[in-house]
Amino acid sequence: MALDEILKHPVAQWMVGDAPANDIVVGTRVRLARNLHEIPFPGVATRTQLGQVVDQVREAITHAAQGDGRTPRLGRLHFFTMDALSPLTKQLLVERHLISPQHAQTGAGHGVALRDDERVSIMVNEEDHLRIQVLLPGFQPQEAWEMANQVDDALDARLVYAFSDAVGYLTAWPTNVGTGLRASVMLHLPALARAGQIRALISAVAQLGLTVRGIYGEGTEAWGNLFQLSNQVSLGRSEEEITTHLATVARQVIQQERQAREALLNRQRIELEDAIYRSFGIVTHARSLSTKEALRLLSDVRLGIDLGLISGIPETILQELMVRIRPAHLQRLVGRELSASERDLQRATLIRERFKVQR
Amino acid sequence: MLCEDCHEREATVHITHVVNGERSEAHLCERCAQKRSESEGVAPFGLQSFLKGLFDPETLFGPGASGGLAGVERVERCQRCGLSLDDFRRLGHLGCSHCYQQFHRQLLPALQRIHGATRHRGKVPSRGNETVLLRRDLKQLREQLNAAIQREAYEEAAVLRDRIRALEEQLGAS
Repeated sequence: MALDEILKHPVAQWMVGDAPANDIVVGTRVRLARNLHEIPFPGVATRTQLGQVVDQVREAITHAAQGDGRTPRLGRLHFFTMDALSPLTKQLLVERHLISPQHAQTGAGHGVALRDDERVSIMVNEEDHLRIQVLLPGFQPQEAWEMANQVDDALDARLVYAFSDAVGYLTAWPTNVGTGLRASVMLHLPALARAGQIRALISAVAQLGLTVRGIYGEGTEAWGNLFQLSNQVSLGRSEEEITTHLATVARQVIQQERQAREALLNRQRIELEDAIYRSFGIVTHARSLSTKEALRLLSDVRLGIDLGLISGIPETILQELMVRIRPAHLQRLVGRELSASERDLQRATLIRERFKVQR
Repeated sequence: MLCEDCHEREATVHITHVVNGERSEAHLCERCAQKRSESEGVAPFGLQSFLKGLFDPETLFGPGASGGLAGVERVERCQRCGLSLDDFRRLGHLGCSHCYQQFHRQLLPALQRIHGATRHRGKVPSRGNETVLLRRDLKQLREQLNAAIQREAYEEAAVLRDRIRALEEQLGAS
């Protein structure tokens, strides 16, 4: 199966459909960092060694996809080497959160495996030999961890991992050692942002071994009020403890966001409605939109939907469009390379049409 | 010559040790040499404490690292992948799984700082019995250390001693 076939849907499956707490939680991601025994990490490995990793992992993935009685079938996992993918395809993968931007810069000796529902992706020879990632819609940290664990089990049956009894799974960065687990929930926090609470949130979760940062944007800016809450600590706690801890804190953040929305409605209803309808007006009529502006407007629209002010539009509009308005997706839609200003025009057109269809 | 520890077996291990210009000799049978090396952690005859000063990271990499170390390899490197401690400090990442043994001592405080812990609790892979592999490595290293000491190759011995200690810490902790 060609990768383009997997990516043919305008939106990835993790972005659409009903999911727990998806009024605030855009998605849940769990990734496991793994390395193979006796082979240097990708950062210092030779070409030959990178090739060995690719060969071993490709074989393990092929077997894992079929299942062998002892381990469950992983489903339709397809492996691709990075040099077999066009720059556009790589960029599509980045925009769909299936590979990292750094991984998109690689070629021969690096690879990616993808399940055809796009919920499982495995980067081969990124910073570690394997980065197993599971991406689910809404708030599903436990489910995502269990799925990642299953994928890991299936690969573990065929690979010998670099592991130490003392410090666990050995990773290129000491920040990932131990469980190799990084669990994240992607949160839409427009009310907390409006109330100026994000800074306080960042320092509060830091005390709990977690971190909050913007999904898009540079520095402290978080475009579209989209944030990622992740564990910092990967060593000294079990995977279940890490996942449960993240889930507990995330639930509190969700609760805080709901309360902040409530407070906004009670105290600043007119101002809030005015802001939301203005944004709705612009996003449905503008002729040119930058990514940053589009995300800001879509964040307001999404809040309007959640508060019952705007109807007839699917709740997942934000996560759907946050991917579809990005450069490679626009380029694929149009079928040719676009300059930045052309993209702004296409972005506005796409959003207008998307809203027209719905109304 | 009889072993100076047991006074029973022939002394086959002869070690000359120089501390601050003062020369001391020891003549042991293999069994007692092994015993001493075990009871003292790694190397017999105070070699351990002698080298400890030299290879103390503060001394080696601190401001005074340039003085008094003539003839001693100053750049600590991973024996497997060649990554140096400086590389690690500069890049922030390690080169291979053996770096975790090589830079064990430098890593521990870092891990404590990052994770608030230094011991793994959690999933364990099904294969690659690390303890067995480590013990095998340890055995080889001890043999190399004894050979180096016999050759009076103390610089090499010091490097081996460090690797052995790192391995022992790992094994002891597990």
